[in-house]
Amino acid sequence: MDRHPHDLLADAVGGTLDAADRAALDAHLSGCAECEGELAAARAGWSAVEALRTSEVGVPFGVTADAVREARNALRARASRPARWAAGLAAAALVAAVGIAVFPRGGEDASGGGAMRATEAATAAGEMKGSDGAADAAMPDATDESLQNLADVAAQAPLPPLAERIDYSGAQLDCLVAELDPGFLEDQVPIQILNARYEGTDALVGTFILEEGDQRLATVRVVDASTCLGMATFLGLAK
Amino acid sequence: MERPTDAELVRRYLDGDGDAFAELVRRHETRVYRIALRMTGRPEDARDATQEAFLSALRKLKSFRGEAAFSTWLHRVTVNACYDLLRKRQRQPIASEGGLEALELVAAPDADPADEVGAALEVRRALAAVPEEHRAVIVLHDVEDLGFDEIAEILGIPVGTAKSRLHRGRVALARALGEPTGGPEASNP
Repeated sequence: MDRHPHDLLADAVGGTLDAADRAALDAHLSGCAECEGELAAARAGWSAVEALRTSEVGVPFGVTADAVREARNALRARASRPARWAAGLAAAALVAAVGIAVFPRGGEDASGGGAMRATEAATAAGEMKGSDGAADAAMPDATDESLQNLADVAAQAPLPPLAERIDYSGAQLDCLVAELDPGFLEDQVPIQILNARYEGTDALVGTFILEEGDQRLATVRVVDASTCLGMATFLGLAK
Repeated sequence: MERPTDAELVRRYLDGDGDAFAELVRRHETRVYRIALRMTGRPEDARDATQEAFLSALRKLKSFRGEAAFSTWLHRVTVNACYDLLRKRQRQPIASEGGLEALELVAAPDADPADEVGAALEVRRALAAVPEEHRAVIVLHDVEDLGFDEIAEILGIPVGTAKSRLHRGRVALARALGEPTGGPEASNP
């Protein structure tokens, strides 16, 4: 046995010593005051760590975004296809707001921007139509592109009747709004909140419409779901 | 549908499926971030280390042979990212005021700040005073509940060395907390 059997002392704290090792350690402890003291200290250290074991830790929003983005970019590069969305847009998404589209109320593209991809827009529109306004629609892995398409579709879609719009008292909507701007709802009509993943993190994706004169501004906002819940709890908004 | 294994997701990504890597991240990000937070002691450093761990894992993915579990391989990359970051900063990690409370209160809104979060903050500060190599074993064994065989593989050391470092780390932690070391009576199981 080593002069001081630190490995056995570790097992003793964990309660995993077998009978032979237990006997060997007891024999050593009977003549080693240093190890006696260290065993007590090690037990105290082990007990203290309990505070860390039971302390939940939330992953900050976007912490894995670079890796997920790089993974996708690497595949795109491998396929020799140019990236269609600037990295800056993805970075902006992490701050909170993604995808802004301005359309005249008639629905014709007045923004002068690029044409919407019909298939992807239809996919986004289908997801929106499928919602009853609750935050249960799935958009499993949102990309910057799909968020932009949500904004495009929202800007063209007719506003739902008041009765079908999202209940303002909904905890998830409160979270989304509280995280961004408490006064946000004064001007904008929430159309839909989606549970989603964005760049590897659980997120809430909200579509909002602002009508100004004959134009409609559609925004799609993304916030970290866990941060949002904490914020709403802090503000007393969460149920 | 059967849930794909980590190794299967690695293969799918290498075959061109971008969602497969996102799924790997989704599965492992919480533990990776937690290890980074306990190792570095500061949320801002944990962010950097987590980010670097996943980027590093992505770049090394082709070298993952499946001989070890993906999680073991990823945790090795994570611990190395933490070591690199700590070396780069050339300082002992210090639990920042505010960052920890905000994160942990958000994650556990019912927690009593005076008890659970306060205790966690105190222990995290003390853990920052434990030498890195010993701290790593405390984090992996006592916090993350990994077995000695896996820890030995993650750190590239013999099991006996892992146990020895754990013991020294626990003692250092207790002393950093000012815990009484106790006499012979206290040491009996």
